[in-house]
Amino acid sequence: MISRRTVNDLQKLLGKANVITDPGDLIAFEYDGTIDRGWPSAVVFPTTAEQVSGVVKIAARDGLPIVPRGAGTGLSGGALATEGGIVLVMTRMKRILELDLENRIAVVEPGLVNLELSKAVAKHGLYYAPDPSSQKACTIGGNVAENSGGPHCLLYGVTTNHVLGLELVLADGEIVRVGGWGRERPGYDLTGIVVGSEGTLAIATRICVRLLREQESVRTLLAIFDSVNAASSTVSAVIRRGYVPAALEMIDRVCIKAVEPVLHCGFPLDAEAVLLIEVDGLNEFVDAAASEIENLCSEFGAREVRQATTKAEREKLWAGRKGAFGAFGSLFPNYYILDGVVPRTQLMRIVDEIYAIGERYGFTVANVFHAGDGNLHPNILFDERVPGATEKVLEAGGEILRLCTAAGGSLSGEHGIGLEKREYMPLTFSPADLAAMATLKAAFRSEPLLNPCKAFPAHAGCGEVGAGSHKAQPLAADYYV
Amino acid sequence: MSAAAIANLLSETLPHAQVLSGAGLDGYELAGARPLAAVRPATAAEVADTLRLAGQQGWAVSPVGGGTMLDLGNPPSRLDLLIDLSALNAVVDYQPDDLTLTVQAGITLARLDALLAEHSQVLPLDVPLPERATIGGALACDAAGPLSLRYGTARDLVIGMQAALPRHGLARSGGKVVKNVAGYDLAKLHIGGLGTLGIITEVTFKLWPAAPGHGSLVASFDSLTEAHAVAQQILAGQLFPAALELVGPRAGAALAAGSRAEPEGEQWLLAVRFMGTFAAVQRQTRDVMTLCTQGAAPVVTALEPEQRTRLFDGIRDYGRAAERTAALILRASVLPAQTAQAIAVLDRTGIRLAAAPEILARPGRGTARGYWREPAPAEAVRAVGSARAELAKLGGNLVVERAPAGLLPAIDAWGPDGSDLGLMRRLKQAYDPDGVLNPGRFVHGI
Repeated sequence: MISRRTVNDLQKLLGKANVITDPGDLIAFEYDGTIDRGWPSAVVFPTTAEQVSGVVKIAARDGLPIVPRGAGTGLSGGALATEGGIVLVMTRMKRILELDLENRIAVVEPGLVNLELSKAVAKHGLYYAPDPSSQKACTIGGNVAENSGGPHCLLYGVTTNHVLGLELVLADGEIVRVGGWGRERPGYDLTGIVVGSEGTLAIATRICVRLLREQESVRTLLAIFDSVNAASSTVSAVIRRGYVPAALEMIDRVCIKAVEPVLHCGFPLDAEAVLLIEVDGLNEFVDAAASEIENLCSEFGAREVRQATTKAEREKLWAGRKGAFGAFGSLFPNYYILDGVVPRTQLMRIVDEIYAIGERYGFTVANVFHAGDGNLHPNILFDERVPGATEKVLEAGGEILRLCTAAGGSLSGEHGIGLEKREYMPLTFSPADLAAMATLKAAFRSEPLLNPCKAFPAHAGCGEVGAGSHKAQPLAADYYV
Repeated sequence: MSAAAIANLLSETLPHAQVLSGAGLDGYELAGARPLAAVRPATAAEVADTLRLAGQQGWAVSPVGGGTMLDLGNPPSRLDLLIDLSALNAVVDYQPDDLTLTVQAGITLARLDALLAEHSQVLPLDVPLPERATIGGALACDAAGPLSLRYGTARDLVIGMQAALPRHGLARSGGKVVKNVAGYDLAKLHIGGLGTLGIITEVTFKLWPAAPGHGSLVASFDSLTEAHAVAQQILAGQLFPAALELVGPRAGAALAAGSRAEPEGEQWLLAVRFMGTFAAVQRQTRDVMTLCTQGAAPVVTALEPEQRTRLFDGIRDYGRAAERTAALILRASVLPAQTAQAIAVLDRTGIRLAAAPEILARPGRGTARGYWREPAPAEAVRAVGSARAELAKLGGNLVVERAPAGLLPAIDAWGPDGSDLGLMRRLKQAYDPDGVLNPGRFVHGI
């Protein structure tokens, strides 16, 4: 619950239009990209760091949690107000504040949509490398919170490798700058600590990022396989032979069947799996690498390899990859996406076992994932209207996560732990590990104010989000992952 | 507590560790100070036990790896015990097909390089003195070399870490897979943290395939302005050199001493290294040669493999190798395009010290180092202060990486900097409330 006084103070600080408390409006902020829900007491839209600081102070005074939120595309429940409180929506802070072409860095506000940055700097031959599939919608602030990846992170690294500095609002409202903003700087790497902390330590209000020079040449290969196993072993072979492509993605039969009739991207409907492999760099390198990888694909059983050389051809293939999730709607009303990571050499065995788990539970599983770095995205397709289906999906999901961690992998490659996977953390981290992580919250004095009960196992004081309260997500046509 | 009592307590608590005191401490010094005892734990658990004991007894502890960068930071405000990590030198898990490697912190870079070479893989962390430098020490100091231009620094290569913490014992973060966002990335605290929050005991890296082709060239320019302009031109383009270093006239002479390629006069050298497929290396060498020639370089030389190794190893170890040790090393950091200005600040510092520095710079990362063999200590305090003021105007900073005895902490090794001082102190307070680890050596007196 929220008091009249709190609302008045928020309105005074932000203007009436930037504070939402009407249930009819709040409902638009009770969800993110997961299948949980959380009901906020208020939703606010700050436009400056000072306003964010003001909101933090009001929330701290009145004992309300703050849940920072970007575009709400998150896939681990990180932006859900499960403990009530104030959802702090950053989407009105979306300016590019500085563009330093000489040093190839940009300073942006957190609400800027990921793809908008690359579009804005394209005329200078530059781009921002991390490219989550939701990049048309997700914000860079959200990417910072989750340490987001994307297909091209195989070669170029994830968000943390591209963020050079942050302006932060701390839990006491203080505004600080951390990191070198393009320079080497002594002291603790606070930027590295905050990136990926899922909004639990501080709120970023300015973000300094590195921009990359567009490559001279880009080539995308589509390798078509009659078995998933052959595709998986090709992935391992490419890595083992010493190639690190810019991207190496796998799309299985179920996904192809969903995506091809809708997007017509050129994936053969009778294939069991396709690999999307992109190499970029100098002309001399791309020519040689593309032909060597093509040979390798054939050697490991690809029935056909096609090379896309023009931008239009490439974009068509990538539309198929990035639009796969939206296309699941043609098969089932709902899907549940996982994000486990396994060592790349174990892909073949793990993918097999994931299909087997799906079969055991009676679900169709669609795999579309970042094969090059072992980051799996199994999608369990289901219908939430079937009684008990959601619970069963979560159970199957849990089994897949246990499979990944038992293989020496991770619970999450890029989506974050959030609400969804917090209870699985003890699978990979000991009590001492978790205590050492909790100490970071103590140092930032951010608990219980900033995104409480996320990313780590629930403790006393966290509300119950049992299986009973799970609801499945509705599918929208342009719903990306 | 007496040295003997400390040694006894350690021996009782740590059955497998080697405990040293008295004459056994020869060689175990830190910033001229001798500890009361030293301990060489046999396991990570013993490192954690040592820290627990130190907390209980109120000892101040400093970790030591290969001892190659012990000059970094201010002298410890207290020092009772050195922890020598050199016995923790095992390869824990190497998965060549996954391009991942887990090692204990005390392993040397050279041993790692040799192991990885058998599988045509590399950990592109070319820190100074790899024969002695250990992984733990290199990470704690955030040491880097010329290859950081292409591959980034330790923070870009580490995917998992175990550290011994004063309050928590052994704690892990990250994992063994190349992509992972589960849990806080605590490794970032310890990389560059100078062992003030914990002691690194085990590290997992992502590796890179060794490049099949290598090439390099050196261009000499009549002025820094010309050399710097060409460097920026290369960095702004689509070529991707593995390393690109600016070498000042005196440093160039020192690097070339004894070789036939000794430069004449006041020339600035641009040393560029390429790694990749043979065709890509050839193409880049050709393009950069053209850029250098167009940029008015009178001489551009492609290097033979042994010349290349000699030059880039020389740059990597500059001022630190036993035969040519610098007494004072200053590192100026600015935005990459301002590197020439950072160099100018170091030159002016040389005028104030009445001794011109040898200068090496990494324009892709905006760092420039000045090396002095015999600086005048009295002048150094003022000169460093002036250099810091000049760099601050550029938004940059200056770190004293090495100084003659007595100069630190009269000069703070790190300098005043930034609005996040409070947050850094809170981190120290949260992880090491008793001030066990390396007290006084890090930024802001941490």
